[in-house]
Parts: sequence; C-alpha cells; structure tokens
Amino acid sequence: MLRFEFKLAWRHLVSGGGQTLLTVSAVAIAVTVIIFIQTLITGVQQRFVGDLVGPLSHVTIKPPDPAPDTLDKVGDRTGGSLLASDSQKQVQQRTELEQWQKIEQQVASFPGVRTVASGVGGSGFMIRGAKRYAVNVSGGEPAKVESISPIQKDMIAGRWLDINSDEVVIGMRLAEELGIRLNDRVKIQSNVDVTGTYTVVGLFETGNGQFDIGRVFCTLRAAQSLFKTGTNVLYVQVKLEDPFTAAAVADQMALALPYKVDSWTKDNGFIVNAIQSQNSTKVMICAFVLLASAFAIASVLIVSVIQKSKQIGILKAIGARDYQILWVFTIEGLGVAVAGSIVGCFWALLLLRALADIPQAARFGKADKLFNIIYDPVIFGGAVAATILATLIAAILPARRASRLSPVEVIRGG
Amino acid sequence: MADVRNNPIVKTIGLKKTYNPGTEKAVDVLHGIDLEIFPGEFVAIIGQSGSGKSTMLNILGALDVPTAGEVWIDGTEISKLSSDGLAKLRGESIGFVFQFHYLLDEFTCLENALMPISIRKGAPDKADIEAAKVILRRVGLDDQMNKKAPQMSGGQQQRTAIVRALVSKPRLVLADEPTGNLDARSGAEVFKLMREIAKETGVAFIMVTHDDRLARAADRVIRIEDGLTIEVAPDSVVH
Repeated sequence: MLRFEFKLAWRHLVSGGGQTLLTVSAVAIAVTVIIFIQTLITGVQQRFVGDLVGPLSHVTIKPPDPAPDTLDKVGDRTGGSLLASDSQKQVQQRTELEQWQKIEQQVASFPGVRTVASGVGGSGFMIRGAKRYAVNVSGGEPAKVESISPIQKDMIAGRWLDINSDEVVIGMRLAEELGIRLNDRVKIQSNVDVTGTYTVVGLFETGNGQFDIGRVFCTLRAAQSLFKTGTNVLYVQVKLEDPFTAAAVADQMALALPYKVDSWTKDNGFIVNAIQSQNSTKVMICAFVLLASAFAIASVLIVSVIQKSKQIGILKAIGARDYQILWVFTIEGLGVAVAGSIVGCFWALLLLRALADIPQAARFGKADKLFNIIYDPVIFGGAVAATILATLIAAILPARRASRLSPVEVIRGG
Repeated sequence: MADVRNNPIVKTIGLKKTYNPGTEKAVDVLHGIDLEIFPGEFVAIIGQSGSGKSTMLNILGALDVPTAGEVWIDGTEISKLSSDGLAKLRGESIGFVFQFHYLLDEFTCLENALMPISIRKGAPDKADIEAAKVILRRVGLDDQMNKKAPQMSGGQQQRTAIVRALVSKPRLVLADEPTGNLDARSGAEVFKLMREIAKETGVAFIMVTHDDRLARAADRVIRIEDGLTIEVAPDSVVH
C-alpha cells in the first residue's frame, strides 16, 4: 500500500540533500527545545512542589466544626438573659474521630488515594531545663506518618521509624535552640495541660525552617495520652497520587463522608497559582516553538512543490491521481517530522545529560544538582506527537496545492 | 482491417474548446471538430502557432475536457469524467511523449520507464520489468537502464520517455513536438523509432509537430486552421 508514494517521497527527500537536512534540523531543534523546556520546568515544579507540599497532607479529614448554638439555647443556659460572652461557652461537641480505622478504609477506597494515616496532634511546649519552646506535636504510626510527611530522608542523626511511645524525633534547629542532643530527655506540655517526658531519639533537617524548628514527631499512643483523646484520633491525613487533584478529591470526600474535609490547596493557593502560571508559560513557549517549526516545514514544502510542479504535472499526465500526489507530499512532511523527532530526542538527551551533572551550591547542608532532570517518556512522547501533528498540518497546505496542479497548465508552461 | 476501422480509438463529435468561457477574456480555440482516429494509425497534427494543436492534443489525451461536444477515447466519453477518472483513463489507455522529456531526475532510466505501472500498481512485478527491458533494448538503451535521468543524453532521455509512454501497453500515444528539443539526428532517430513501434504494435500515434518533414512521413495529416480541422494528404505538406 502506498509503495509508489513512499518511494517517490523518499527519493525527493534523499535528492533534496541540504534542503532536507535543514528541514529535519528545524524539526529536531523544535523537538529538542520542547523536551528541554518541558523537562526543566517540570523538574523545577517537582522540586518546588516536593519542598513545599512534600511534608503536607494533601487532604485532611477532621471532625465536623461544632454547630453554633441557637440564641434560645444560649439563653436557656444563662437563665434568660443574653450575654455576648456566653456564645463561647458551648456544649462540648464531637472534636475527635472515633472508629478511625473504618474511616481510613473508606478514604483509601477513593480513586487517586496513595496513602492514609490517622493521627493526633496539636500545639504545646517543649521544655528543657528552664527553656520552653512552642512546638507542634504530630503523633501517628511512624510508617504511616512517613508516607504523608517523609522525614526519613532528612534524618541527620538517630532513628525514626521504630520509635517507642516514650520517644520523640525533633528538628535540628529546635535541638539547637534548646541545646538538646541525641538521647537527651525532654518534657512536652500539651495545650490540654498534660505533660510527658520523652527521649529524643532522632534529629531531622528538611531545609524548611518552620518545620525544622517547630515540629515534633511521636507515636500515636504518645500523642493520644498527651492530648487526652483516648483511643480516638483528631484527623486522618491523605496523600494522593497527584497533589493537584486534592481540591476535587476533597470535594468528593466531603460529599460522601460526614466530616470536615480540607485540601492543602485551600491554604496554599499561592503555590497552585504559581504552578499554573509556570504551566501556562511552558505551554506558550512550546506552542510558539511548534508554530515556528511548522512554518519552516510548510515553507520548505511549498518551495519543494513549486520546484517539483513539472514533475507533478507529468506524473498526473501519466496516470497519478490527486490523492497519490497528496500522499507523496504528506509522506514527505511525515518523513521530515519522524527523522527530526528522532534527532531531536537524541539532542535533547545529550543536552539534559550534560545539564544533569551540574552541581548546585550546597542546599540546606545537602549536596544537590542544579537542575532536577527527570527523563520522562511522556514528555518525550508528547513532544514527538505534537511535532508530528504540527508538521502534518503544515504539510497539508502544500500537499493539497500539489494535488490540485493541473497537468495541462504545468506541461503547457514548458 | 474493416472491423478495426469501425472502432476508432479516438472519436470527437462537435468538439469545442473555449478558454475562460463566459468572461471578457473568452477565447474560442476549437470550433466544432469531428475526428476519428483508428488503431495503428500514425497521425500528424500541424498548424500555425496558437492554432489549437496542443489544446486538441490535451483533450485527446484526457488532460483537458472540451467545453462542448463529445470526445470518446477507447470507448469512454471523457467530458463527464472526474479528475481521478481522467487520470485512470490516462494511466490505462494513453501514453504521452512531450517536447521536454520530463523524466524524474531521482529515478533511473528503467524506473522512469516503469513509472506508469508504479503509479497504477504501487510497484512493477517481474513481468513488467522484463517487458520494459525488452522495449528499452528495442530503442537502444540496453546500457543506460541503471543510469539516472540527468546522466543520459537528450536523445536517450526522449527515448526513455517513449518507452514510458508504451510500457502500459496503451492503445493511443500522444506526442507533442517529441523531437522539438532534440538535434536533427537524434530527432530523426526518435521519429523513426516511433514510426516503427506504431507499425509493430498497432498503437495509434497522434503527433503534434511543426516539422513538415516529419508530417510528410505520417499516415494522415490533419491541419488545424481557424479552430477547425482539415485533412490533407501527407505528400502535399510543403517543406
């Protein structure tokens, strides 16, 4: 099928020599630039999201907010006279999650959910001798907590995943602030006035200052007694496959579950906006590169059609149909696109490999690469597909022009 | 011979051609031509420049359609055929030899000769290749078959074009000034070859020419004058 058309297109390309090389190079440069830009921006985004969103729960399920009392109820409690200050004295409503194992199961069944971890946490003070420092305590099963807020990779001393209920892990900056060393004993006083004594068995440094100075990790049991929740938990945290689906997943969960469901994007809209803006920039750059490449291909093919118009005329005179001529020039465009894509992928690989090895000045005490290069087949495939599509569209105009040439006009023109 | 002559390969009835019809620039070229050409005939069409010779040849070659009248080629009336229908008829029934050879530079002599078959079938089979080689040998191109078109002389290229016109075994070959671009010796050789092939194969040849010597050697001579045809005796064509 189309053997004649392929053969003629191939001979055109081969005989085109420098012109063909130039066109293939134009496509290759387009593919290289697209892959390069996509990979760099995606890498930056991943690092950005990893640093900022990495330790966050994507979706958090909490007990529903207490419903405000109606005025008549408040009035009942104050013996008929209404006082503004009374509105704060509400009847204790449910602020903990019971049967959290069941909630975990329910939540895990939602599409896009990667891991689920229940926990108890709250504010308190870490006390070391005469020094006190305000901290945020997170208690949960270490393996599950690790799946939500990974700190294992940031551990600089001690251990984390196998801590006991009388042990805690704290940030390096907090340790420095209070002069704590590994295996020192510290006191933690919770906001419900429970105080416990714990051994610091691990130190971490994520590079996120607030996190490193204000966060304490302990077991679920330790946190349950520190915050007096019994066997209940205060929240269920969810990590998703794609953090940017958090708002949608949270909405779905809120509809299905009788709890308060929040997504990380609710409190971090600026991150989402910044990433959306980067994505738009990425798309714009790639679109313009594609457009430039498509114009280059279209113009070269138009010149080729003009150069070959006598040949097209004679081919039609000796029996070639319009569609055959259309195919010849479409195949030529496709050939240029495929060859250019292969060369472009190769160039992009070389370029990215060269960039991947450039080191960055130490970041938060850790050596890192300047560019976060991820060889994503989707980016490569997408660039190739977009380029081939743009090339085909660019080839259609000259190919149609060629197919409509009248053999008489061409032959009479001599 | 009688039954063959009853089935003309080309027949026109009241053939008219007007360029830009219905506009101020309308030009009437052919005014109603009735013509019959039979298999095996070698017909020369002569006339002044601009008399409509090439227009006539283009219509007879299904490259163009008439403005009015009927044109029957190999039993098919062409005026209502689509562009693809005309291309099919050209590919199967008609061979062309033009003043300029119009070979494809990217292809060898043999590949150029086989081009109509490649267009029709995708690729020639062994029998097609052998048949083309026989005709190429017949026209003296034994040692040129694998040369690219630009590597051959003008005469060799035109002979390749003649083989290309014959390779599909057409019933009609149209030649527009086939020797016009060749030197006298090559031109005479090419003409002699066409004449011989017409006799050997029974293919009808219609040749437009300015060369009265060539016209005198044809079976029939048709002069186009004022948009009409006048049949003249070959030996009456004046040098």
